[in-house]
Amino acid sequence: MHLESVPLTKIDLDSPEWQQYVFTYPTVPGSILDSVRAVGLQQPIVVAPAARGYKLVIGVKRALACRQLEWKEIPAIVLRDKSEEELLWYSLHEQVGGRPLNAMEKSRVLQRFAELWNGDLERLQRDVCPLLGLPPTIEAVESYLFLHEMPEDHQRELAEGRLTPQHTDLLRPLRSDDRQVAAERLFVSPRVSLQEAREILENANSLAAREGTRLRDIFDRPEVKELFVRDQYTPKQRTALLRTWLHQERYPQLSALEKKFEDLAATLASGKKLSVKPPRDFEGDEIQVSFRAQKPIEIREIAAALSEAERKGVWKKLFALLQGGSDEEEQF
Amino acid sequence: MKKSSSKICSTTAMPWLNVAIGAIPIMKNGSAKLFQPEALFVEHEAREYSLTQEILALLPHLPAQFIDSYHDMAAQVLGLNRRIAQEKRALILAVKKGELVKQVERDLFRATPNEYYIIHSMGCPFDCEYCFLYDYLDHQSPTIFVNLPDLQARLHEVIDAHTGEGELIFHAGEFSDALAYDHLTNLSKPLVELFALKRNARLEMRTKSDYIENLLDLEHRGRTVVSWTFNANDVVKRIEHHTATLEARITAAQCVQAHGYWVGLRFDPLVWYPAWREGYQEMIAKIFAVLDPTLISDISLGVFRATPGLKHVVQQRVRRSWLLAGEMVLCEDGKYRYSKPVRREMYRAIAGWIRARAPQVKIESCMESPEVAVICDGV
Repeated sequence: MHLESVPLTKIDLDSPEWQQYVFTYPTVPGSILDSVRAVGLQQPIVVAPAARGYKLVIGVKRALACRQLEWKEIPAIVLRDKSEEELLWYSLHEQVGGRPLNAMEKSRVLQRFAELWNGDLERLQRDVCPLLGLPPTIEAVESYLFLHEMPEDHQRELAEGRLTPQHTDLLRPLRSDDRQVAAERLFVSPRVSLQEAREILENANSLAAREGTRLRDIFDRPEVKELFVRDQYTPKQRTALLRTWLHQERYPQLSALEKKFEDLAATLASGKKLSVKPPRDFEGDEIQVSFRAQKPIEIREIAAALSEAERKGVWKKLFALLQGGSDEEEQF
Repeated sequence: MKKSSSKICSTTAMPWLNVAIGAIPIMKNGSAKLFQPEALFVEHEAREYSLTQEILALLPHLPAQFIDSYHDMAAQVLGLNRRIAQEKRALILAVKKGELVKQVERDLFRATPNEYYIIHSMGCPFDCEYCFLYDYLDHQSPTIFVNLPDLQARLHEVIDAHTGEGELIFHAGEFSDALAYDHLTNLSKPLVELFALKRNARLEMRTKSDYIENLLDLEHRGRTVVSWTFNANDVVKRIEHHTATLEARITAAQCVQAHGYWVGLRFDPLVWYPAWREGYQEMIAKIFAVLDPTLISDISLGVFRATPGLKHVVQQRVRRSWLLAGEMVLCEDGKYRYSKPVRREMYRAIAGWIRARAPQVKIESCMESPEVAVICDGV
């Protein structure tokens, strides 16, 4: 290990492979530029000899800052006679000893080692995942390796933590053009929540399967397009409308049943602080009845409304609907 | 009980009828894809069993790789489909520890105290996209348990200890297709013959194959039901990969009926897809045009259901899968099923078509809530 003064022009910072040992993402110098300008370089970079000049191992932001400040030479520790794997480990251990790695950096680490080990997944899980704070599973490796397939702007958001690998996992099973459309609809700012995105994609995929079309065709339907071109909706309203539309399209029979129940329940709850709800998705055999009151008379009114409903057979009809909208319901 | 073989069971129709066990049969048009492993792993502990020796003799071209345990054999390749494909190409011979015969606990809504699973193998060479094993097993490599004497002993023990009411039913197709490996194991012979000796127990061999040749000459005494999972042709082609076609299954069922076996019809899972009415109506018409209703033991109906884990597997494996095209909702038992109106519509239609053709056959729903099950249960 030698500390040397290395000409900056000799360090590869431009070739397609210049980031071979660099995991940092993004690679812009950022605030380090001001620091170097103010007080100089406090810590040398680390390089390794290459066929032509040197490869950067550690200190990408410092090297780029110095180049931007038009330094001619830079103090560098030169690691000689090290294998590619040793240099990767050197770089990785330096990284994990510092600030926490962002998702894109973890992805890069896994990519580099996967290439080096010819895709030996067991080794990645055993030796690398724990250092990155990832569960040692194939699923985790796949999830993070997928990140580099995302467009550049999404990679930046992943690095900043505004998008997560859980978001991008939703896109993974899709064809690349479907991914693009889905990402445009769901991950543009302000984006929908992870849970909402999952539901929207599931319903849209289901519709595509039913109709034998592509996911992008669902998002290109006039009803959906209109939601996105009209300015009068807030993002929240737009998401709610999209979810409602997809739900009704995907669940026509359940939606019809829900509507029947709602209409019937409204007849007895009308004008009163009374709520009558079926079990979620009509799975189960209990109806939930709740009410609010501020005065004793309101309680009496509600009790009277409940009795009246019993006399008219509304309860029987509501319970019959729980059977699934069937012959039993038609009996009443 | 045993009827004379009909024309359908002639060696012309079944060219590998008399082929010795283990030889590569000439497959018929529409036959299930015969499992021919490309890699062979043998647990150290399994090597001395006679079934191991017999299987090794049938696969002389495959070098056996010896392993400590069949559990840790998950393929290490990227991509779920590639992993599954790789795992399914390997055969593992192992010794089953623990329960070889396991009491059924499958139905939240119905008690099944007299039913057991026989665990003779795990994993299946076929690839039905809805298979629960994708969310149940550590890996998908077909694994044959070679400690057959232990299994036989345990079966005798459980059956002979039964003094309660009703007969015991033993399912041999829960963790694997019951006949998919029969060309390697010939397991059907000892099992069918064991149950032939019992008065209070019945064996059910459930399959999506048409590998019935080993069954035909066995003395079964009516104690074995060969049951088929049937599905609409579109579903078979699109979702049940490598299995026998609908027609081949019907022909095989007809053939075992001709040899006096009871046949069970398992319409499970029923898959909702845009043309399900036409598909299932056609399936039922084809089945009842050929099969003898008086030799049908029972019929079960069950819609496709998936644990959250299986749903995730389907989503990861298959783009725009029909399996998730229906109105899937989360039910009280933690599984996804079609919404109640859809389930009721399917059961009512399909049970109706069946009853129109076989009014006396017992129909039962499988893993269904009581308010929906009532549509199809009963005779």
